[in-house]
Amino acid sequence: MAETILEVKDLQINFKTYAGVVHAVRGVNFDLKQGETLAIVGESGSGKSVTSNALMKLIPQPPGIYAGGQILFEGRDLIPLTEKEMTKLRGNDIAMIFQDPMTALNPTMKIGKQITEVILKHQKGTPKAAAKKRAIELLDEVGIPYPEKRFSQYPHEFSGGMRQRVVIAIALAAEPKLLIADEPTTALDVTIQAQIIELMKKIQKERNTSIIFITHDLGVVANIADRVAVMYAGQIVEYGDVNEIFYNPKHPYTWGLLGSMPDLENKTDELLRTIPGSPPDLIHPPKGDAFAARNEFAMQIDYEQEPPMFEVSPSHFAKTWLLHPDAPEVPLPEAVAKRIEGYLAKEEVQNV
Amino acid sequence: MSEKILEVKNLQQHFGSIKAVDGISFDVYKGETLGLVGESGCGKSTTGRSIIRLYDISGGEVKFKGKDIHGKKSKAELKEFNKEMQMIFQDPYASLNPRMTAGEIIAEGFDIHGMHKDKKARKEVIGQLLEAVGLNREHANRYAHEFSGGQRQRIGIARALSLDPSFIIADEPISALDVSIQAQVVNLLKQIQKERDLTFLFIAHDLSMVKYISDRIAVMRRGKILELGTAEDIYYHPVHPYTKSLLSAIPLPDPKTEANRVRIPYVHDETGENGKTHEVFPGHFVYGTDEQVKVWRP
Repeated sequence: MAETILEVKDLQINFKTYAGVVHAVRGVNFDLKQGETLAIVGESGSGKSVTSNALMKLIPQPPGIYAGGQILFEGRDLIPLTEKEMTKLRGNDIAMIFQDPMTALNPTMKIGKQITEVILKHQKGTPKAAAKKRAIELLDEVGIPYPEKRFSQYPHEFSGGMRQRVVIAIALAAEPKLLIADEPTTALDVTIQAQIIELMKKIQKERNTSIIFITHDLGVVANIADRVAVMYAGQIVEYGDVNEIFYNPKHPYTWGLLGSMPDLENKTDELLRTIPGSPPDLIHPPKGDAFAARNEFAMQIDYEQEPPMFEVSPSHFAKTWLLHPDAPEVPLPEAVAKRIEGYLAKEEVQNV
Repeated sequence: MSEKILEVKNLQQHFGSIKAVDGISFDVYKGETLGLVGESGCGKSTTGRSIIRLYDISGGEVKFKGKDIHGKKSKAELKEFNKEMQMIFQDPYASLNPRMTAGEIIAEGFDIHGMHKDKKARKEVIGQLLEAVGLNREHANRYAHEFSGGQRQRIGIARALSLDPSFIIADEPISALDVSIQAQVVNLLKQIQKERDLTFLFIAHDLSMVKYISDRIAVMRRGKILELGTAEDIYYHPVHPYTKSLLSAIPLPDPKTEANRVRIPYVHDETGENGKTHEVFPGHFVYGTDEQVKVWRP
């Protein structure tokens, strides 16, 4: 069994605003093993980006408040660390890839310098020539043609996909153990997205890097993740191995997400399943289950008491009262069930 | 097949030396949804904007209901055309005037066209439009910032519907929205199309959503339409290697398929000057040279 590199325990993050205190992350628990990819899925405002920024201690304080919990990276809690101690960790041990490659790079600095800067900072005493050589190797590794020539070019001379490769090269420069990617492909076209994901998988294999991949695209999740955490209203509502989440989803919100994506086999006269309404206001999080108001299967208790994480299997958990032994049997919505059946059947045909 | 509502012939749109749209031709039939897909910079949005006269075209011809759109027109003719053809924009945050209420945004067209002058009647029409897109009558007095992204897009749709058009160009209407909200808006578009007998040109880069909503699909790259056919043909029997490559890159929410995914890279085999559009099957068009199409044809 691989070593656990990161453990997040009951993480709570609030933001002070004029309107009141926003409870953006409300008790999040997960762990990550070496060489593993955890995908965090959710819609805007679900707290997925706040969670990932918190891991790097990038939440501005104020207005942000680390209201509780622990972030154990290799056994050490990051929350009490000073900014100086965190600076050592960032880039070196944990690196981040941001969504927008257009703004993540410094437009006035040559690409090469932006990479060697990281190398020189984190591996003190590296001769400049060696740093340059390493930077060119990195550019080559992330699939940028003519790395020597590209080394002395500016970001505006690169396309979106190429810029994201540069961002990845910078993130890899100090050989981090944990890579956090916050929607790294959302701004890119599908073919470029596929290339970037292939690249991240290749790097992970070679270096045994752990990856946290934040996205709202379930297709991307199915492609890259070993495990999946589905977030809603600042909490993880379902958590499990990728196959468990996609083929045996238990939370009605996960059903909703799966159902709202068009199925390529779908007949077009069928309407998409939608999740009615919109996410709750996290200044006053609702009593009980935060998803209740949008949940067609909500029961009385959902409005009164927050459900615990129920165990579906030793690796699969869901936060819904529907899993309580006394709850009525609610079958998977037909459209979602049919789709999963279709996928599994296709798999069998391929295996024969 | 029903009648043609829009005919685009050899449409060209050049910005300086950049040929954003480089001689494309297609028809849109009454009541259908034609999906226009391609990657960023392929010219799909420019095509939409040229058709609705946001740009003066560099060459070619666009006919709407048999009449040339870009020819000389009197003010009255222009007004009539603007009533018939409307647009829904991508960014629901940028496309609504923050100083106007939802009701004023929806009713702006009424002032221009001198419609519904009676205050009470106008209020009623606005209320009906808001309800048609799944909002409440009370929302008429609120400003754009009081709405979520999905609700704003609904206001954009209500505005497009206000003049009772027959043809709507939707330029990436859902790409700025969350997945569950995308589904709500797509369902709404399908429903109003049925109710109001509308024709759509649906521009997007999300191929799975385009497949879901479109009757026919045109695939664009570098200002050209490379393949055009029914949604089924494009998805299950693509002919052009670019279409195949594009389709092979869509990730599905199915981990087992994804584990075995083999992406087909698009090996550049530029068509150059001698390309033309070939009808490989009835209603299924592919752009290429004679030799290329011979090789690609199954």
